[in-house]
Amino acid sequence: MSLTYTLNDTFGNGTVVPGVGVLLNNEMDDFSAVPGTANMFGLVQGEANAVRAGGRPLSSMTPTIVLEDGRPRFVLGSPGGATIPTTVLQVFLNAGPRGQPLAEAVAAPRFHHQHLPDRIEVETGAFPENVKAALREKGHVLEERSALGIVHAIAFERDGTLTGVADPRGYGAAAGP
Amino acid sequence: MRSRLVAGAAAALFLALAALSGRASMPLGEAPAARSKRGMVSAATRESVEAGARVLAEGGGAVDAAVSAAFVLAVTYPQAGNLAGGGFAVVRTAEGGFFALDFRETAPAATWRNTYLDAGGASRPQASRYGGLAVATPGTVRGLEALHRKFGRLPWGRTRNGARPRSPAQKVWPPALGPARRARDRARAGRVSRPSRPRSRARRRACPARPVSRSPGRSPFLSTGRTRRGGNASRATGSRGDTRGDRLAGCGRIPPRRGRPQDRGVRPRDRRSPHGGGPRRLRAVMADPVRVRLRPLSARDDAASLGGRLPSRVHPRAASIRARGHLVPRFGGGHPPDRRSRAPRIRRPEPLSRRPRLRGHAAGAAPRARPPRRTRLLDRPRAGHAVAGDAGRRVARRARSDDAPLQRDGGRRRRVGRTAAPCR
Repeated sequence: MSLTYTLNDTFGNGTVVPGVGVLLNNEMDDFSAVPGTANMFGLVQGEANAVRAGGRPLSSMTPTIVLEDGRPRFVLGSPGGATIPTTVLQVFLNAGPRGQPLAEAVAAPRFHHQHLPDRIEVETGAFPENVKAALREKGHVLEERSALGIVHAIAFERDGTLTGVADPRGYGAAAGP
Repeated sequence: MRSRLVAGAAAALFLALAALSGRASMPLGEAPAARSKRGMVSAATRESVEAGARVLAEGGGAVDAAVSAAFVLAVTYPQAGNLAGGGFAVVRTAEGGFFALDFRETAPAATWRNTYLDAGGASRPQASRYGGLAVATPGTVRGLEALHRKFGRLPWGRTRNGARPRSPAQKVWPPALGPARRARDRARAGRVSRPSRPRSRARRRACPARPVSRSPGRSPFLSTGRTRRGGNASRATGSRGDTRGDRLAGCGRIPPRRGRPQDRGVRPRDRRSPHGGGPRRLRAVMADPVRVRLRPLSARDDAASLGGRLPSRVHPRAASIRARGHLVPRFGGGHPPDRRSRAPRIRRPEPLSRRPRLRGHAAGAAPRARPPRRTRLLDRPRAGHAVAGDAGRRVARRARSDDAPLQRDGGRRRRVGRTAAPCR
C-alpha cells in the first residue's frame, strides 16, 4: 500500500492544540479563495475548487502503486505540494521504462513545471549547463531549487525481493522485517 | 495465503516546499536501499520505518505497518506527519483487489464562500494559511482507523504496540496516541472531539496536584508519556464519567454538550465556557473518509467531462440556514447530510463499506453485488452500533473487542455499548 498524508504547509498552520500537543493543518489554503488567483504553491485554480462547506480541497498528493502485467512493480510517493506528480512521474520513468535501479532513479536530479507560473524549476545539477543555456535561448525561465520532493519507494524485483529506498534529499529510511 | 505479506508499505509524506529549501547539497548517485523478501517499509523517518518493520515482523500486513508508521511520523516528523491533517491511501490486496481511500480534510460547516476575502472581495491569503480559519476538519485518525478496520491483521492495540519505542530516545511518541485514541473513541460514539480547554487560574487552584505548564514555547510532551497539562493524557484525571460534584469543583473535563454533532454545525461566535470566564471552547469534528472508486482513465476523460460530474447541490443543512435568511454555502460532498431533511439526497463518493475485509474480492471471483444506491449516511464505525445485516453485526462485535484494551487503558469504562436502530 502507499499512503501520503499532510498538514499542508510545514507544521501546518503553526498552531498546537493546548493540552493535546497536536499540530493543526492549514489545508483550507488548498481551496481557491478567489478562483483565478494563486495559492501558497502558486497554483491557479478554478471554480470547481472554490471554498465551500463540507468540500474537500484539491490535492496534489499522489500515493502510487505501479503494476506490470497485474503484478505490483513499484510503490512510491513523495511530499512537495504541486511538485508531487512530476516528482513521482520522473522517478517512475527512471525506474520503469528507463530501467534504472530504484536507488538511482530516486536519487537522480529532477525538474518541475506546473504551467503557471511559466518557469522550469530545476534541481541544482539536474541539467548540464549547455542544456540550460539552450533552454534559456528558447525563452524558458529556469529557477534553481535545492531539492524537489522526497521520494520513498519500494520495488518488487522479479526474484521476489523487495527493495526499499529512501530519498537522500530527506532523512527517511527503508527497512524490512 | 493469508500469512503471506501482501506488499511493502510505503508511507510517504507531503510537506511544504519551505522545508526542502534548507538542504543545500544536491544528492547524486544512489539512495540507500534495503532488501527483504518478507516485506518492506519506506518512510520519512527512521523511527517510523522501524515501527512499521516491527509490525511486519510480528505478522502484520502492509496496512498495519503503514498505520503504525503514520502514527510514529506524527511525532517524529511533525513538519508533515500528523493526527490533525489528512491524506490518501491506495491498497492492493494479495488477491489483486484495489482500494483507495480519501481521508482528506473537509471544510468546516461554517465555511463560506467569502471566508478568506476581505470586505472588498480581495483574497486574504494569510487567513487561509495561519491561525484558526486555516484549519480544515482533520481526517487522518479516522482515515487510518478505516484502513486498519478494513485491512488490518493485528488488532488496533497490537499495531500500537508495534509502534512502541525500545529506546529512551524514542520516548517522545506515546502521548500522541492518547489523544488519537480518545478522538477515535469519540468519533466512534458519534461525538464531537473536543480537547480540554486551557485551565483557568481558578481550576488550577482547585486541582493543584496536576502538572501544569502553559508556557507556549515548550513541548507539550513529557517523557513520562503524559502531556504537560495533565488533563488530556493522564489516565487519572477527569473524563465524562466525572461526578457532577467534580465538575462543579472545576476538576473535571467539560461536560458534553447536548444534541447531535450535526445540530451544532454553526457555533455562535462568542459562546463562553460553561464554567464562566474561560477562553472559548476548542472543538473539532473529524472528517469522514470516503472510498474512491478506481477506474482506468479513457480518452473521453477530458477536463470538461470530469468537471461535469462534480456535485453542486445545496447541503440540506445549508438549505435550512437559507430558510433563516443567510447566505448559502455550496456543498460538494463530505459531510453527512441531515437524515431527517427532505432536501434532495446528495451523491457522495462511494462510502466506506461496513464489510470488514476485502478478502472476498479475489481476482476472477464473481463480482460482488453493488451495495444499494442509498448512501449510508452515518458511515462511521461505532462501537456497539448495530447495523442491519450479518456483516454489520460482525463489524460491531469486532469494534467492541478492539475497544476492550482501550477501555482498560482508560482505567474506567467510559462508554457503554449502545444499541441503536439499524442504520438505515
